Amino acid sequence: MEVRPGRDAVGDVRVAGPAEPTRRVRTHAGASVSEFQWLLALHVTGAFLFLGSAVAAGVLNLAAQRAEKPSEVALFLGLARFGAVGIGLGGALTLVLGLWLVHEGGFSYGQTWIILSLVLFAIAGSMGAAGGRRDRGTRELAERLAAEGDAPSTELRARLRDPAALALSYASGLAVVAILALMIWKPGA
Amino acid sequence: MTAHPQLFLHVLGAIVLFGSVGAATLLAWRGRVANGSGSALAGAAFRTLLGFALPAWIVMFIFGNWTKSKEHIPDATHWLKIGSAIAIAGVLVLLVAVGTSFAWSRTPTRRSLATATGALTTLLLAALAVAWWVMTAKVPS
Repeated sequence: MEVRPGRDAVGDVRVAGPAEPTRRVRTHAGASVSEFQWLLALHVTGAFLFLGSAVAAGVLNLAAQRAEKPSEVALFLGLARFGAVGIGLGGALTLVLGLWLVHEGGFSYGQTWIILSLVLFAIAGSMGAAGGRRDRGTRELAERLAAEGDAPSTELRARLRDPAALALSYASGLAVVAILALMIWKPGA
Repeated sequence: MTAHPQLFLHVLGAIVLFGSVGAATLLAWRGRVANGSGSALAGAAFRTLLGFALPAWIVMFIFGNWTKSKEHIPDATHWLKIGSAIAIAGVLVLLVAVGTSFAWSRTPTRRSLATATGALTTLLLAALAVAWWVMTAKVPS
């Protein structure tokens, strides 16, 4: 079952839900955007912030891996912290509004795609947090090395290419892409 | 909107575009005040825009048009016209930003190029936010 928000001839919004194949959510008098559309647009805004910040953090981590000097590594990993803030804010917004949309759209919280999404969200969050802790240690090492002469270091290079940290980051990224796929296909709805 | 791979790839492309332009924005504004790291920041901004943002725009645009054809959405639909206009104007802004970031990577001491890159990418981020709002809420219909 899929949600089909869209306007009909009288300006209502059609929403397909499992209990009612075509439920009408009336727009507020005089308003051009219904409550459902507001929630959906804000939910997608949260998702863009969440996933886009993960992309930004990944790009900045790749830049850190290419950097030669510890000061540059510290700079890139320092900027990646903005990505972490965006992931946190976007994730919270996506989750809260997503749960609200489940209710508003007439879905059940027990549907497969919703349960799977929540499980993947928790997995992505815990793996991303673990990867983030490792990145923080790497950034602190880079800052220390930068203050001690800024010479390239094999220890720092090894930390940047630590397979465990990379695996956590990539797995977390894959989990959020899987959530996006679940949001689009809605298996079991 | 029916779920299909084209829609998934359109949305994924848009997200990667937003994230990579966001990273380039951070690099550019940081480059404006950087002392001694301008070269690394400029190179990273240029590679990010060329290697991530531009391919992501292509994916977003191709699969967006494919989705439109598959769904038989009329060309006159307002939210689609706004989204398409932002995508087309956006790639022009993106190409100019690629150019300014390339010039900045060649002359990292010229902070005006970092400012130009930051301003263009910030503008693009704002335009992308308008596009996803309009295309999600489907207003005006």
